[in-house]
Amino acid sequence: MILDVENLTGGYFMRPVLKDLSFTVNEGELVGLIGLNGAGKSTTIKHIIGLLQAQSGQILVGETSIKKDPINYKKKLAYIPETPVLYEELTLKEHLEMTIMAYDLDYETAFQKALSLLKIFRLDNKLDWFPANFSKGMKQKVMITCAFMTEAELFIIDEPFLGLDPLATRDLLNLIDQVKQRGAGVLMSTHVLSTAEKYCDRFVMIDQGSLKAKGTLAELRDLYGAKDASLADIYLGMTELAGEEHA
Amino acid sequence: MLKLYQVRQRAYLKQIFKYLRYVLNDFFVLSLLFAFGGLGLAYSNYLKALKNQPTPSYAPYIMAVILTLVIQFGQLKTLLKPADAVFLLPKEGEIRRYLTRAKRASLVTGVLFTIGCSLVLVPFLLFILKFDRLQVTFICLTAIVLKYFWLSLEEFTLYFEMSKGIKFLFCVVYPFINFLIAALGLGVYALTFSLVGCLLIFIWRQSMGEKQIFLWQQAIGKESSRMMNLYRFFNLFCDVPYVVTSAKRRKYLDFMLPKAHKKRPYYYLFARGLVRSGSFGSLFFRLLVLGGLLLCFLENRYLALLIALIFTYLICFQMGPLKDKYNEIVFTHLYPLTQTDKTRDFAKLMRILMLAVVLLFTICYFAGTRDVKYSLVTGILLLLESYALLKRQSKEK
Repeated sequence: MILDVENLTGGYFMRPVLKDLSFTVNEGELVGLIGLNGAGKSTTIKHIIGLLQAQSGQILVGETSIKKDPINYKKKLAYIPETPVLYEELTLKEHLEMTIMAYDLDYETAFQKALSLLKIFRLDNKLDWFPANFSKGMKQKVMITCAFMTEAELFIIDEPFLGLDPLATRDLLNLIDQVKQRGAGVLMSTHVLSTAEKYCDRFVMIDQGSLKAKGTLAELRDLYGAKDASLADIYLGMTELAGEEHA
Repeated sequence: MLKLYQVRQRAYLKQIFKYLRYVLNDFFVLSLLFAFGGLGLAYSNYLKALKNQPTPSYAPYIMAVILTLVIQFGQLKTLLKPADAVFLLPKEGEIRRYLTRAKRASLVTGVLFTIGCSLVLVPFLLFILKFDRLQVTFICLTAIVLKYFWLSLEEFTLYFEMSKGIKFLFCVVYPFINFLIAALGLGVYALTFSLVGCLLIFIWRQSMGEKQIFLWQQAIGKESSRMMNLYRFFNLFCDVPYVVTSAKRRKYLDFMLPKAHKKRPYYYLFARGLVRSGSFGSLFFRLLVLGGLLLCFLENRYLALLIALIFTYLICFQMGPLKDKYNEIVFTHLYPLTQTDKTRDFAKLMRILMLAVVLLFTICYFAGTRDVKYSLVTGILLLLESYALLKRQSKEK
């Protein structure tokens, strides 16, 4: 297991947003974290990457807990935020160097890897530019490069497809496939259910901070009781039911 | 729409006064009083000296230049916001009434400023140019009329694109000619000529149909620039959240920056943050140059020492916030690096900076005072001061 979330209860200050959430991500797996706006996907992610402290429960990444060994924990993670976050004063090359230094990577290998990624995204001729001045799509590609040049065991990607053109979407999915093959796990939160359905190995559905369902598409179909339902159908169905419960 | 302007104006004034509180702090007010006092004295001395002499030939030109400059201040406050391009578009028909309101409000401040400056100029007109009261009145009236013309022209450019050259012609050259005519004693002609300009603007406005397209993007852009300039002024006195200085590449300084080094990512980051940012790099440079220059020209040993101590403190103090500059970037928290790494690397950067400061100030001190013994003492004192300040800084969170 790369990621093990056990009975996670947490949220912001006094308000517990997540209630007793448990799920896993195994090696070589792409797990889709699905939920409506406000369901708690971002909060879950913030707990996993260590921005928020869990009120109860625990999160383990590769058997390491953030409380006991934060440095090693963080070394195993790579995160791609929904909105690109960049250093205003660093050039593209310097962002790469910053990642290399922070994660203690071997300079030559990591830099070559980064360059090959930049070539795919057609950014290799912009090493001396400020990414802060790039378009949104280009900034996202910088984020993707910085994440995938590491040797992380767990990749956490927040809404990857928004803002990427179809070519870049395909390239990202290829990259995810590559890291899966070397044994890393990928947790991806998304609204784009059609793409998630095609590429994710398993799904974790959350609504209002608690787990609604988890499993492969086949398992979810069984749960929902419809052999040919699409992920969107299952999702809408489950949240409608939940809506009726709460009504 | 009219109510909208009122609401916005109220919020705008509230914001201005909020910042004005910081601008008009005790020190600034005191220095302003001194400055105005000094200027006033110089002015009256100048008047007294030239009172009984014939009018110098440059005097009319000075008057024209000053008055032309005076009416350039006090822009049209449309108070339009970027979101208006989306939300107010359906109200395009009513934008004219909104603008009239805006112009009226802007006229108040503009005309008041013009009158104020004209009044200050009156002694000059009476004693140097030796005009009679009637002429002076004509000149003041011309100034007011031209200010109205200037603001109306601003309004005009919100509907019709005007090239910079033509705008300059109308906003600067035309008033200058008018003032020159007035300065040569033909006040009544100047006034008439100005009124002609206003008449033309009036005719244009009447002839402009209801369908005339308002240039939203340009208008919003102009207002944003105007507000930015205002915020930048306020930013000299306090932190204005809207002022975000963008980073400058400064490739020529790359040789000074640390290369990628495994053990010091924060040092790498902070060094670049310092050198390339407007708020830190430029500020550091300005303080350094200002302090250095002051010291080069000060001969008094004790005063120079005081200045050196003050500037060293200022620089150290102003660079402090650099440590927290990246706290809002999520990766600062995600990287497998510790807070200790950050503090240690930042301290290293500060040490190098302060060493450079001490060295430069000591050299400039010597250049000013030419006293080797005292320069050495100053150098040592500055070093001690830096050490104490850095120690305290690293103790802070």
